[in-house]
Amino acid sequence: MTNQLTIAVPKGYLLKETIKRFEAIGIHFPSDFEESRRLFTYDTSETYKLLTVRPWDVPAYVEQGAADLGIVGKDVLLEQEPDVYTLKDLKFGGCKLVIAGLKTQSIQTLKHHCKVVTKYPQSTTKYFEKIGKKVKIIKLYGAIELGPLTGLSDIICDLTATGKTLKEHQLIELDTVFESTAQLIANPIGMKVHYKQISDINSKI
Amino acid sequence: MTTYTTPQGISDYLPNDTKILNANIIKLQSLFSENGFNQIKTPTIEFAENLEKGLGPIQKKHSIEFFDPAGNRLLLRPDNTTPIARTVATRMNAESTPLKLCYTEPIFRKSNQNHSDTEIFQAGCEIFGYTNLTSIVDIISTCIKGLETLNVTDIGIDIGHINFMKGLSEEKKEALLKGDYITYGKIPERSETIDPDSENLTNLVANLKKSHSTIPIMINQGLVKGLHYYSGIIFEAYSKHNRNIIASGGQYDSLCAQFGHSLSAVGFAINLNEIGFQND
Repeated sequence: MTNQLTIAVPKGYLLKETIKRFEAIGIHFPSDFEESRRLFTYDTSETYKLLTVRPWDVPAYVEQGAADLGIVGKDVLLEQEPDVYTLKDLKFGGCKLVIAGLKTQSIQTLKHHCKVVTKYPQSTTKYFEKIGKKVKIIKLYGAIELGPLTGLSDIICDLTATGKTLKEHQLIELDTVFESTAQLIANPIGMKVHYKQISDINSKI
Repeated sequence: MTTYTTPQGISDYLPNDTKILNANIIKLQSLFSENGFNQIKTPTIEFAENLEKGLGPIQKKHSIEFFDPAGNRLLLRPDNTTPIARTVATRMNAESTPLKLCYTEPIFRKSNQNHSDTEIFQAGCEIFGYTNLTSIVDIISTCIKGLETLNVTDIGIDIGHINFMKGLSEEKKEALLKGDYITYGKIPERSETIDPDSENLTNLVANLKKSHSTIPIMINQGLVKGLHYYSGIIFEAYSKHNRNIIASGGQYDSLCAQFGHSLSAVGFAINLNEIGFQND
C-alpha cells in the first residue's frame, strides 16, 4: 500500500496508448480493462493503480493528490493551469486548438464583439487578448461546430485532430491557437514521496 | 431556506474544530517557548506599500487589498514574516542578536478556483541576526519538532536553495518555478548528497540527521519556490498523509534592510489548516 502509485488517465485513445507504453516498460495492466466498465484496475505486481476518468478531470485528481501521476492533453493543462508538475511530453494524442469559421471569414476581418463558441473559454480569451480583439465568448460542452451554422456564434474555437468534423460542417481553420499532445503530470507531494519510482517511469516511458 | 453563508475560503470553526485548533496552538506555543522563542503579535491590517516590500508578484495578486478613509491602500497581512521583519527592523533594532521570535496568527490570501482557504492559521518562528548554520539547524529542527508535537506522522523535509536558479535562462527559471519540467529539460535532481553550489547543504543535512535520524531529508534541486524575499536556503515539510505542503521556511537576509535596518534572518511557518481539525 505505502509504495503504491496511482495514475489517472482519460478513457479512449490516451488510455489505449498509455497501457501500451506501460506494457513496454514492464508494467502490465489487464488486457481487457479498456473494454470493461470498471473505473480502476491494478497492474500484475499491484504496485500501480490505474484510474480512468474524464479528460477534464485528470488535473483535479492529480492536483488534489488522489492520483500521483496523470496523463492528459496539453490543451486541458493550458485551459485549467492546475498546480501540478509537468514531467514529459509523451508525443501521442496529437491535436490542435483552432479558430474556425465559414469560408468567407478571416482573422483579420473579424469584427470586434463577434461571438465565439468554445469548450475552452480561458484559452480563447488569451488568444483574442493577444491579437487585440474583444470578443464575446459562449461556453458550450460539445457540438461546437453547430455555432456558426445555427447563428449561435460567428466563429468557433475548438480542438481538431484531422479537420474532418470541421469540413463536414463547412468550417475552415482560420488560425491555430496551440498544438497539443499528451503530457505526463505529477502531484508535487506524490513526486517527493515516490521520487525514485516516478523518475524511473519518466526516464523509460 | 435562506442560509447566511461566509465568503469563499472563509469558514466558521465550531466548538470541536476550535478546541483542536486552539490545543494545537497552545502545544506549539509551549514548544517554541521551551526552545527560546518569544511570542510577538503584529497587526492584521497594514499599509500595502510597507508589506509589498516583502511580497513577490504572486503574493501581491493573492493579497486582499482595500482603502482606508484617507485613500491609503491597506492589506490584510498575507504573510507573517514581512510584518515581523518590519517590526524588528523599526522597533527592535537595538536588541541583542540572535533574536528569537515566534507567532501564532492567521494570514489572509485570496481563495483560488480550487477552494483554498482564505484565512490560514499559521504558527512559526524567526531568528534575526543569526551568524551561522546552527541557527538554520535550530529553525528546521524546531519546525520538525513542532509537527511531531501535533502528531503529524511520516514527515519529510526537502531542502532547496535560491542559487539553484543561478545561471538559468529566464525561460528555464520560470519553468522551474512553475514545475514545468518539460521546458526545464529534466526532472530536478533530489538526493541526500547533491550540493551543486557548495552552500553547506550536505553539512546541514548531516546536522539535522543527528537529531532526526528517521526523517527523510533530501536536497531538492527543484525547490526554488517560495516567497519573494528568500535569499538562500529554502525548505518544505510534507507528510505522506497530506497532499499539500504543511510547513515551509528559509533564509531571508535582505528583508529587514528593506525596512531600513540590515539584519540576517531565517524562519519557518506551519500551516495549521493543513494539519486539519479532525485529529486528536
